[in-house]
Amino acid sequence: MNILVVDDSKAIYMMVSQMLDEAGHTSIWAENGVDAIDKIKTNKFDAILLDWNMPVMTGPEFLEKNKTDSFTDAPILMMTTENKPDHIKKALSLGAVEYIMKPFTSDILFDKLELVFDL
Amino acid sequence: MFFAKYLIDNKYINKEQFLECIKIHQEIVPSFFNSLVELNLLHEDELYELCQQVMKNKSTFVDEVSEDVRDMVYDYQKNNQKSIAELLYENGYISAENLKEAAKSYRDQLPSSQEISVVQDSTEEKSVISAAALESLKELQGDSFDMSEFSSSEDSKTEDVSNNKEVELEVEAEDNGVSSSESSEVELSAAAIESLKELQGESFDMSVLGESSNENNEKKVQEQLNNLSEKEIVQNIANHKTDVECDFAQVFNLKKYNKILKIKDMILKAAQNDGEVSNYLNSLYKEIHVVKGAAALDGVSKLSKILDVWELIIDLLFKKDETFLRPWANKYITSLEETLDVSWKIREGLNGNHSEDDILKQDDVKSQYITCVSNLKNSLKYIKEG
Repeated sequence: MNILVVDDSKAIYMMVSQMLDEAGHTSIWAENGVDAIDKIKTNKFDAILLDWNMPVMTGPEFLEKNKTDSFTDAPILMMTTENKPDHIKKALSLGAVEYIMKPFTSDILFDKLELVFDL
Repeated sequence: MFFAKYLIDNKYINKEQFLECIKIHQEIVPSFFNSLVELNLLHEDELYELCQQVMKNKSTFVDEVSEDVRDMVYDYQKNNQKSIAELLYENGYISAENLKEAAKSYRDQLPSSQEISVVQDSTEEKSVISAAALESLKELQGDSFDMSEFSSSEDSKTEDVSNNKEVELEVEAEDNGVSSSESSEVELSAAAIESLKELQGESFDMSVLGESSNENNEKKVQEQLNNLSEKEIVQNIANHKTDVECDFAQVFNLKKYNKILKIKDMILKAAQNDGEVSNYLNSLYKEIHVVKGAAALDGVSKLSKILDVWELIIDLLFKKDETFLRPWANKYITSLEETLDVSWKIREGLNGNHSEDDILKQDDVKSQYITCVSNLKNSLKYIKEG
């Protein structure tokens, strides 16, 4: 799978990227929602890992924009630092299909992908 | 200045309308005893004993129950009441548009961190709308007002929580996005659409009916949940029986059933291997929320309540650390299977044109339902004691 990792922290991207690489997947980094839109225009992604809080364009803003502009139909997994029902509901109502609390292990990441793709 | 006062001062509503809503508010808050019964927290014998204690000590039910039970009842009461803003809207005293406009102008005049306490001075309850809460009014979308985000929490400063509660409107910062209006093919019959339209009134996004796949249907249910309170939906369904196609059966399909089982297995595995249970609870919360919403939409009220308790449990678990979550999961997560089985039997029964009540009268389902409630009760007790 080719996965877009949208997070303003390069350290997070490096961590996730390593997990994905080890499992034979590829990944591309976008540091915010606007950057993600640019990357989506030139690449095909199977899934998107999206951070909640980012400068320029936050995760929810990205989801809202995708809802109106439909620039991708790849499943979007929200990455946040908090488990909160309101966050979960909001992410899901805006179109995210899963929710991962950071930091996470590779087991959790692949379990979440399994849930999304019904592997 | 209180939001209600702001509404009156700016002539959005008048005092009579406000007082009428206060009156309704007081009437619809379930009593402590009724909540106790509804929650099934005590057996009949225990309830009887409780009544004896109240009479003997000339006390109240609040005085005689344990703190844990009291907390659970308060949680239930808070989840089953409506805000004044909601009542004003429901009673047609203020339009969604005006409410949105008022909330915005009210918020603009406030320091962002200020908490606006206000409201109802009553014998039973005092509600407070936090400044942050007002942000949630931004969730108003067109003619629909997002009531599902209304949640409540106890005022920690309050000594007697039975008489004082804080109702907060949790917030979302953005003012768009949820309601969908894309055009699409219509699968439901025109009659069903009309029934649903009538059922949901102006606040129902009709584009929900357009999508045909289960995934889209699920997404739409999710969106509808964010636009309407489930209480409102259930109430509407109770008031207007309809021949609408069964969304519940579509959303709670075999794939969903297996997915929830899979999450249960993941949680159990994490618990047994010192893994991170909390990171799977959010997936479980999402699935249960969607199924519960579909059940509520279809008027499957008892199942909806069971799933509501599961949501409450997960919500409480979100606040716990892994040292608590692992033993909890080892002990209680398998009870999810019981809930799923009951849910599935109800689904199958509904598909066979039986009512939920009739299905629950069947011995095997009734027995499972009782076990289910008992497990939930024990689970809640475990969490509260933990």
